[in-house]
Amino acid sequence: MLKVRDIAKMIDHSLLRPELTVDQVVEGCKIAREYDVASVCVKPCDVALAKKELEGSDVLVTTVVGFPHGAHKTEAKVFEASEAIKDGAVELDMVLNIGRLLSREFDYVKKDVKAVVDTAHKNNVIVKVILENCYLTDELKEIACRLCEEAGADFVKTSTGFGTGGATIEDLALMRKTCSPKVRVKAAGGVRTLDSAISVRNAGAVRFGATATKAILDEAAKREGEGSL
Amino acid sequence: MNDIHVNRYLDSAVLKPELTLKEVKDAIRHSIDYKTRTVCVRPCDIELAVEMCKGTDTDVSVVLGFPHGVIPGELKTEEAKNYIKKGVKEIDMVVNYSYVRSGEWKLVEEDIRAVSSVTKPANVLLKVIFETSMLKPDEIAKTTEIAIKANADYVKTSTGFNGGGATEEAVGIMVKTANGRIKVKASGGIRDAQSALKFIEMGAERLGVNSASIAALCDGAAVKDTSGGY
Repeated sequence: MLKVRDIAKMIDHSLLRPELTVDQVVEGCKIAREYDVASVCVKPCDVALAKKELEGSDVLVTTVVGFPHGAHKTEAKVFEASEAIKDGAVELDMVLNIGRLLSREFDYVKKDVKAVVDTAHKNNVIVKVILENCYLTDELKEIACRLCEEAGADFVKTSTGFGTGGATIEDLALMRKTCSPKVRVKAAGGVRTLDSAISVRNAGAVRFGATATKAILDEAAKREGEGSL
Repeated sequence: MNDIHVNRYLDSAVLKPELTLKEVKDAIRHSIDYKTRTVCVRPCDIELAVEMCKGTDTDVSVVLGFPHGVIPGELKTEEAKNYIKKGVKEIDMVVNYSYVRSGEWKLVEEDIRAVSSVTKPANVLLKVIFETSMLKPDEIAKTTEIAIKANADYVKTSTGFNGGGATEEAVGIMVKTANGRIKVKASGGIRDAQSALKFIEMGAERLGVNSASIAALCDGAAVKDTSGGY
């Protein structure tokens, strides 16, 4: 039997829209604390703020690197990662270099990921690598999963939420199947209801990004009460 | 109108994240052929663009903090230093428009200064992208004032990746507020000669256009609509 907490601890509460104001970010952190989610995923400029807002809670602070295009230079990604870690982030969701992956410059892609992973792991920080599946063929999704695993990534993640498509069940299954069990899978983009949260869980995701956290977890609490979760 | 050489107003954008190296090379070559003022590339393509543009009439510009603008100022400074060292002539930064919308004007000024403090001494042009589709008219005017105060060279409307692109309203506010104190670049959604000329007549001194639209703008030829990234 699922518990509300099982769902809550899958959620990276997403506060990534660039147009969110400082007040909206603070409000989002309150929701994250109240619902005791896994983490808040904030904009790089808000990491210190989120850390302060979440002090004394179990909610972790995640931020993004090279987001959302992944077309930054590797050294910029590394510097961004180290600054975020200094500010208090303990999980980093980086975007791989999509254009280079599509150009089949696999060595470049792997080195780019590995540079960030190495920096993060030195500080006990985990890295989720966003593949941005909407631009990839299945073959490239598989290759990307392998490159990420070889580079030491902790998670592979479907999407930024800012591309042309989000997480699909087929992609999650493919990613789960391609990576070894030590690499976890995160769904992002389009998980807005409890039912879709449960579907991505069944497809092998152990974490998902959400903005509809309240709606999802209120529904989970209701079903838990009814004994139907 | 025949006296206007539209190509010299153009920053040819080669920015979509999914572009392959071959597509980037083709787009840069195409921009050089049309002698656009600059070709505006992704950070990971700077070296390639600098190499290809050497000895041509087209300079290299690069985007910074793109497209969301929500990275800390010290990262923007570091990126700017790095890009200048690699040979770019112009930088198009995205302002932290979360701070603009929050009315955190001091932070907005610091955000722009984080880059202008590096570009000015190096004689590199700095354009500040507002993402006007996300801002109210008074926020556009106020940010223009701050960009002037913070030593930027251009105010620019849009990234092409969030909401609509350049509008007559937004460009009008920028031109009026600037009043000759800072230049204006219109960008996003400019795909034909008519809208290009309209913004030039309004006072825009630079236009950001998708590299795929250059032919349409310069030759008046039809081009298919390419949404996203201008």
